[in-house]
Amino acid sequence: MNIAVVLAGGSGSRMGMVDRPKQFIDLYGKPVIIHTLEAFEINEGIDAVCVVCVKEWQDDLSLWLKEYDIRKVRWIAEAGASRQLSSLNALDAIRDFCSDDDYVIIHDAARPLVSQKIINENIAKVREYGACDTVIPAHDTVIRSLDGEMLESIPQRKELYLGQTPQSFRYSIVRKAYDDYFALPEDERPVMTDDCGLVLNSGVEIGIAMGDKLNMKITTMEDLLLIKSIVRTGI
Amino acid sequence: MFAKSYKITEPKRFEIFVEDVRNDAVLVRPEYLAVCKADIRYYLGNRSARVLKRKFPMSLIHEATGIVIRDRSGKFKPDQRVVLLPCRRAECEGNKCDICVRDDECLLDNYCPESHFCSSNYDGFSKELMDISDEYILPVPDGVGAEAVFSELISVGCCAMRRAGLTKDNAPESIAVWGDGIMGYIIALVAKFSLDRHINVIGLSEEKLAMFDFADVYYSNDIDLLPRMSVAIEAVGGNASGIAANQAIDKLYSGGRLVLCGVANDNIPLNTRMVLEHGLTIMGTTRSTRCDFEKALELLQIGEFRDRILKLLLSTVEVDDIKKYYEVFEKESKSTALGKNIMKITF
Repeated sequence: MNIAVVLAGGSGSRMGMVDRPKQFIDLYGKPVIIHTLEAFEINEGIDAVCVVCVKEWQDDLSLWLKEYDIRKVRWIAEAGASRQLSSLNALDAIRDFCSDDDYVIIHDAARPLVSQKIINENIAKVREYGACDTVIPAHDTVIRSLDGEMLESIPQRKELYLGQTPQSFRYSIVRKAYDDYFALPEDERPVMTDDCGLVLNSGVEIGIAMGDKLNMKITTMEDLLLIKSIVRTGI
Repeated sequence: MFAKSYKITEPKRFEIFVEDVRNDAVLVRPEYLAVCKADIRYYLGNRSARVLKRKFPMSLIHEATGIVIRDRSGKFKPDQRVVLLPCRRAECEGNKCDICVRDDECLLDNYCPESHFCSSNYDGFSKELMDISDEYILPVPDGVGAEAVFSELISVGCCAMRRAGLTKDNAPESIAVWGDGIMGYIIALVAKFSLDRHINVIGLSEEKLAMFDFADVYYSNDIDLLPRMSVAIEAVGGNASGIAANQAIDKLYSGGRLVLCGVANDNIPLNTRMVLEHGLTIMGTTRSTRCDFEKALELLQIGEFRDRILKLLLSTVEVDDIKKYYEVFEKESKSTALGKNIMKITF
């Protein structure tokens, strides 16, 4: 069984908005999160969906699920204070439903342009490797700087990729990684920005699924502008 | 939901479009696509600049199968394979034209000036997802694979038989088909299997004519050897369609019928004196409509027919990005082989 976890716990603080997080912004007549959920709804490989959502938006989300006829969402889990806690809440929510050998496909709600090809490749790769990350090659040269003032090094571009989501895992693998992580005292937990970092830290090998430049994340107002200019309406 | 499509924006230029696809009817993922000569004319820019400007941007391809993702009506099941029909019935009430042909049994919506046709004056099937009315899809029968992508071409052959009024009961003993290209092959095959008659095929290429093992073949420059007939079908198209049509006019018995199926680029001169002298009937037929697709899918369930259609499937190219899409158009625009390199799309 393949269960998608859609993370919608962000606050949208980087967009400067005060009334709603970015994943609930209207994008051509629908909230961003609904566009994202529709991609998983129509994917033949996805059996169920868990949405991790900030508490004050859960009622709105439930209404939208009805309005837009999203039927695969079986759980709405509460968002945590960090991405890791949100993912952990999702893993807890689905625990009784899935076995260790089922697969979890974790995706950002703020990436509404995720394609069927990317979801399918995640499913194929996670079945092959037990864990996989969605990436795109780094076409620009990446600069490393430790202080934001001076260039420290220029890593080999051909070895560099940019991480996207979904990130997919066999349930037992991601569960163990999270359990191990949260078993550490808080001040000893390494800083992780995504689920793959945490799983990699637990010593698991992670395969690569090829993403797409269009699978961009709405993080800033500029991203929203870009997405709006990419999508052509009324066709 | 958002989905990608490829559209031609100028000759030899495809662009990626991301569109918000609604799901009011049947949500379908196009699966196999085949490039038609009409698509190639757009790709190469072999239409007037004015026509192209009016039509672009447009998704090409009108020969396709798909997979049902979700059907609001419940008529189709998820994962069901379907053939996509390209003719879009006019939305008028049948009162827009002086003479409405939409419900005329012989003409139907295919000849309605208010109808649309995919990849001609309406978006074609080069799309990741489509919301399509159940009127415009038909289930692919069990046992029929990627070759179902040829349903559209087969339906054009079926339409020609229907329009010419040819049935098993009334067709003459033999029928002559001009054209050794894919349209000639399919029309000859449809005539053979739907009418159960002897077929003579007239062509130019020894290599291609060798594939017509279900018919007697004649070279165009040895036309004297061809017996006379009462029904001739021209499926040559292009500049040579005039030569073919005039040869057919010369070979038809008095009262015979000439069915024109090939698309000529320019106006072609015809030997009308002979048409008059022999009281010939000339009729044109192009494209097809739903009932022709139904007949095509019936034919595809005949093993021997399907095996011969499979010979037209030269290769299947998995198209997961726009580069591969270009490659198939380049390949098809240069191909002189009898058959098609089809696409399996996963973009």
